[in-house]
Amino acid sequence: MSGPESKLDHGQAGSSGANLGYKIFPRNLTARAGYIVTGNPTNSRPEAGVDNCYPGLEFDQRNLDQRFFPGMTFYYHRADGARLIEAHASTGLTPDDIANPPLYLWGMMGRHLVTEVDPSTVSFQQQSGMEVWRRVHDLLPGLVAIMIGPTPGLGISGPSTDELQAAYKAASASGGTLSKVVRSVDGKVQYAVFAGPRARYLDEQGVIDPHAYAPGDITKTMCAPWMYDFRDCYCFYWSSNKPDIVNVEYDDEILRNVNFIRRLEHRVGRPPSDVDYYPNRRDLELTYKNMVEGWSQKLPVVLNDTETPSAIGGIRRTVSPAAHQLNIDDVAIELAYLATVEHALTVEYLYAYYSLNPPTRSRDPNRARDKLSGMPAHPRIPGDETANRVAAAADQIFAIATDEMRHFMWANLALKLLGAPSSTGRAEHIAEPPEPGKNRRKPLRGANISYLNRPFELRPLDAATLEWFISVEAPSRHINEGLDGMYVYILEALELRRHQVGCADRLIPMIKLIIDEGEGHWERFSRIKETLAGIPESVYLRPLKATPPGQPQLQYLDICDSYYGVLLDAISLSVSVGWEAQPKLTQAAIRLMENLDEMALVVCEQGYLPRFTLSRPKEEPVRPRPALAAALAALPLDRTPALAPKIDLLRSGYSNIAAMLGNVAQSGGPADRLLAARHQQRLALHIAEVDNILVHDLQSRPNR
Amino acid sequence: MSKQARSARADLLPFASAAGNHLFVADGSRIYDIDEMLGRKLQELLDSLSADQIWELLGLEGRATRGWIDERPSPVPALSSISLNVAQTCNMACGYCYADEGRFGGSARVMAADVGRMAVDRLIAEAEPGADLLVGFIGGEPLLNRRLIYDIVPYAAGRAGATGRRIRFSLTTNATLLAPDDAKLFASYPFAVQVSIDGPALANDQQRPMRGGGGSYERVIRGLDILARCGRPRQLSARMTVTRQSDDLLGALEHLIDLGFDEVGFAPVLAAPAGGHALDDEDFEKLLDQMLACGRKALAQLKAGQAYPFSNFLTAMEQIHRGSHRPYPCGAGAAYLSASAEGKLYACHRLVDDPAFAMGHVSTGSDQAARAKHLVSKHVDRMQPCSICWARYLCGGGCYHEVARRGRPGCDYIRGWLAFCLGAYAELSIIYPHGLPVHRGCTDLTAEDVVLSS
Repeated sequence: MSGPESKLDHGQAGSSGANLGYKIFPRNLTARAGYIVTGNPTNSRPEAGVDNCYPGLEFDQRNLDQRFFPGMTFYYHRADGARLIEAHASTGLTPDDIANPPLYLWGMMGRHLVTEVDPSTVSFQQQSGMEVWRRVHDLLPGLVAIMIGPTPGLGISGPSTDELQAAYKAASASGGTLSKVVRSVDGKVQYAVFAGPRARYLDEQGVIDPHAYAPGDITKTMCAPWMYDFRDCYCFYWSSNKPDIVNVEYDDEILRNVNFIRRLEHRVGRPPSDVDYYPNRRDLELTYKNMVEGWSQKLPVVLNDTETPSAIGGIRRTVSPAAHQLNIDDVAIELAYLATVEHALTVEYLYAYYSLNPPTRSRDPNRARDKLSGMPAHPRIPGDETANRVAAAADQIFAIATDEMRHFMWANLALKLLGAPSSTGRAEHIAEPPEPGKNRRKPLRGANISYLNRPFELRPLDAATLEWFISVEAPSRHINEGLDGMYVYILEALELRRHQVGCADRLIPMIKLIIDEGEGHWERFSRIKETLAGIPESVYLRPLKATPPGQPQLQYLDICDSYYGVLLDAISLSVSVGWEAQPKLTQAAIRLMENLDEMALVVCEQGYLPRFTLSRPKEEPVRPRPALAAALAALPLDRTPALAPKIDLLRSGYSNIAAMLGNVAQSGGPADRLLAARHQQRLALHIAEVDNILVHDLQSRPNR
Repeated sequence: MSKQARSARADLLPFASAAGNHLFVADGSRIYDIDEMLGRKLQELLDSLSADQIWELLGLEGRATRGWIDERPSPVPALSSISLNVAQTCNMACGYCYADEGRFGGSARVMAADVGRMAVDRLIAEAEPGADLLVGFIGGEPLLNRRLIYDIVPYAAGRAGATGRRIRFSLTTNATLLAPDDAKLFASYPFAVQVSIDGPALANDQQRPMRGGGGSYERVIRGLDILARCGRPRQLSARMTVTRQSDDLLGALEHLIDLGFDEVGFAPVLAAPAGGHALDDEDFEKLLDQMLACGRKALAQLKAGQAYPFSNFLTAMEQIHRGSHRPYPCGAGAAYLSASAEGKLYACHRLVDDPAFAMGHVSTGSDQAARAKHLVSKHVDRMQPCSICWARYLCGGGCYHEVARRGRPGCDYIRGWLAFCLGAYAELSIIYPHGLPVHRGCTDLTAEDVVLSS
């Protein structure tokens, strides 16, 4: 259902009231079902799907019929016919028989049309793999006889047709199968005839039988995003960025007309000249698999009509010696520490952000959102350059803090994938050196990491603090150094020990993302320094009161701390729930951060900065809705310990905030009451949303 | 009849909620979000153009009317529910009782076991293969004939199981006669038990006296206690009858929710044998105010993420979410029939012994012709003033029993309640985009709620 916020999701469903110039969006189910969706006509066949080089969009039709004959696998993705690429020993063919020389399908006998009473014989003379496949695909269930042999495109005629038909008849008469392999004096296969039942690939309902195919079998030749297409297109379809023919510099000599996607072995030494004939040219080229696996290291850059001498190559060709010293346990310990550092930096950056004095009183939640953080941005004031520079610096540092918070969460997700407990604490020292006796972390020989070892501290963004931020992020401009360097070693260690972790495919991209996102922080802090240059601290920093906060401010500061606590608890809980619920829960928590932000800005206006105190809620948990309570109760006991206390903790946090907002709503002035009401409403919505996410997650768990 | 163009107000209802402006389209019970400008513009256009002309102006596909539902009557569906009037007698003496203390205007009598079994066989014979079945026990007070219930339930479950169908049971009771064995039976089979109770002790006892005098409240509480101790049915709901004398519905609702019912619902009395109970024209305004107070409470609770089992509200939310649109108020005479103590079939349990709604006999089968005629004649588009009312496909034209006896005095009340529900739905749908997470028991409809299976 489209709520106001989700209108964009249904944008395509929203119809423009063309004549009146209004928009109208469906809300309930019948309204949403009330659109005429143009679909395929009822006589569509799967092979009628949109396709470019005939894989189809859903699966590659040709793969359906790879094993149409029992014990054999054919490959139709060739111009020169259908090649036998696998044969079970029961066929009488050895791996050497089918590889040297390769064997092709020459002819076939079987029934193709339901109106056909007698089988028909087909010769595959000079037919491409695609043409062969079309006939194979039309084979009806029942007996089929095939003839294979070494010369592609030979087909059958005269005596060989007779032999195929004889085999069919013999098998038909005996009701069994038949196989005959004829070899020359040197033992090579001259030809072979087989008869047997066409292998079944559909179930009784006419649906593809999952037992007939291995996972990935029928999609394996699909368009990998573009590499498959890239290889197939040789008709200047890919405009400037897909050369077919290039010039190559070789021993100071320019060679003309060289195939751009030629095989790797042809990239060493003098390359062969291109050939015009398509099938021959294909043989010179990288295969689909080659392309998909590391095209970037195989295809060079073309500049001034000439290939660069070498391809771009990988970023890391050798693994650092430091990475070899990290086993999986060490990786988990390092990640647990790094998570606490991400946490500490998030808070230091946020504090510094609140210390800035942008011109507007607060951020308007209805205004444009910052592109990077997705959070409301400070509005700019036309003509007031100083004010706008401070606002820009504030938005920038807030975006970096949001990045760090995301890394904090990802580090925790990585720990979850490693089977390690979550780590939501806050580091007391940033870039602390490893000391096995103290922090269990292993010192790495030959590691290129600078340990700044600076205690966590909340400081306004004065010149010294800005320098510290720049220096803590400085190494990130070079990969393999500093904090990010540790992530690089972790990444390398995980790649080295990929087989020891069950979920390397999820884990490794996550670490890569942390590294990639961290890279820009040094530049951004340096830019903040430039942005603020020349503005006195007394102008860009918020004036703070020296006196201790009074009761109203203390109330707000406590609420800020509770929001902070709830955020941490939500992140901690989010890594304990299922993979579908996790991002939803995190998003919900991040949205609640808008409350923290709004409250903090109100306190800032009064001359006090949020304290980010780590504390435990005092209130009893908010009573769960019956649905959630029931879902929790239905959880097997052995799983409850991991989850129930975290849910309770989060709910206590909610109660705490609700109680404090209730106090403000009763005791505060009109503006306070409005603020409290707004927060109460958002909190209630948030709790309902979290409840829904949890109920759905708990109910969708297997083995309940 | 004049050829004057049909007003678009019969088919389109622009409305506003805290979530913004919306348009309700009667045909298909569709809801769209619109902006304020369009909302204002529509108010002008509604009086000058037809619904379809407006639709075209909006640049939308199709028509605003006659796309989802039209004046064609529903074909007679297969039977899926039957209620058995197991005891047309009662141990209570409520003045408003439509059943006239279970006698339905006739003499008190109880159903015999062979009639009950025949009714079950009839249901199975006339149901679709594989269809889910519902058997309801109605009275009077059905527990006055509990021996029959104890006989029929295992019999019906066995017959349904043998023919590959799922079966559920419902029972409407005053709970004053509940015994531990009853509770055990309700807990062992998929039962929805609906308890009639009219609020806190004082209010309840005024409206619901025992036949021999004295209040019923304490006995109901004892009954609930037995259910709590000896076996709780899958769904336990409270049904409160609202009369002219009813006061403080919100207080009553909260009281009944606190008693631990899974759902609590109100049923206003429009037709009663004894005078002085049925609501009069001026009472409906007061009733609407009170219903809206309850609805607003439910809305606020649900917005805060708290459950609030006010069934009139929850049912409306669910039906509006689905865009439920039907030309009949309920499934009576369609997929639902009711058997009298003698085995005569009627359109529903409220119409037992009414010859105008007689529809066959359990021994000989349902009267298809009578059912077909009923569905033709009772189509809401043929009803007046229903055919020009925007709420007709949500309301269905009102309870047959009440319309036959009282006409349609409560239309403004129904429209007022539905208009509120449309707005509440628009607001709740932001928080619950996939519909309210209503976790009802396995028996999500009682016999009285049975709607067309189509």
